[in-house]
Amino acid sequence: MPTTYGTTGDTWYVWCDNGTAATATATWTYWSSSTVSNVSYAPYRAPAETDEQREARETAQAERVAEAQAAVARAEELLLANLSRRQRTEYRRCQQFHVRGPSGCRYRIERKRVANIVLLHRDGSPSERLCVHPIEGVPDEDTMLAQKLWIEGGMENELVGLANRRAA
Amino acid sequence: MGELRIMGRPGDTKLIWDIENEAETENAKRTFDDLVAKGFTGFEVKGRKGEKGERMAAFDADAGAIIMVPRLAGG
Repeated sequence: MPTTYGTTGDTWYVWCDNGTAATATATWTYWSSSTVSNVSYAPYRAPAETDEQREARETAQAERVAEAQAAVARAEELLLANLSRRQRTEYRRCQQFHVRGPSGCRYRIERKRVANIVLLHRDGSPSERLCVHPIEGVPDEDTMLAQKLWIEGGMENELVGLANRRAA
Repeated sequence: MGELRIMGRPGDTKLIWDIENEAETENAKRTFDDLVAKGFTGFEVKGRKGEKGERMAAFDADAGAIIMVPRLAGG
């Protein structure tokens, strides 16, 4: 008579003393017919983090944040250097600016990556929202400049053709 | 002096060339062509007053500043 076979008590007793897993029908019969309510599962506990590991993780996180902030600063400097005076004022005031394409259409470019171009009616009310942006995950400020260059620089039709469009 | 500003995930990187320097100019042209082959579009920017950029079909060493924009796609 075994003393203890872990936490499953009787089930393990039958398992270990009445045959093998492959052949002992009695073992499976017992397992299936008995309850398993006496099986306890210890919750998973991640191995404790050492001080060195925590320090390395926090340093890496701080570096990622600093890199992201530097990227935004560079992108914003490039954007501001290439906006007209009026666009720059608009951007500083409300994080958006207006551009006009060779077709005569006006667009509002907002500071975000997705669906951030609004095609405007003649009276300035929104007509459609366009979603088109660089495939590379550049900072939002670079996205805005890319869109301005495409629209003003002779690629307006290509940009509109690529965009996913929906009513604004 | 010419300046190539290449947009990318960590913000733009800058490549400067002296038109009098053949090696630098050739390097700038090669970079421009490589980026265009990858789907980038070059825009020449005249001055620093936000004037409209113009799409560049081919590298021009006399261009003052060129911004290289990654391929755009519908989102």
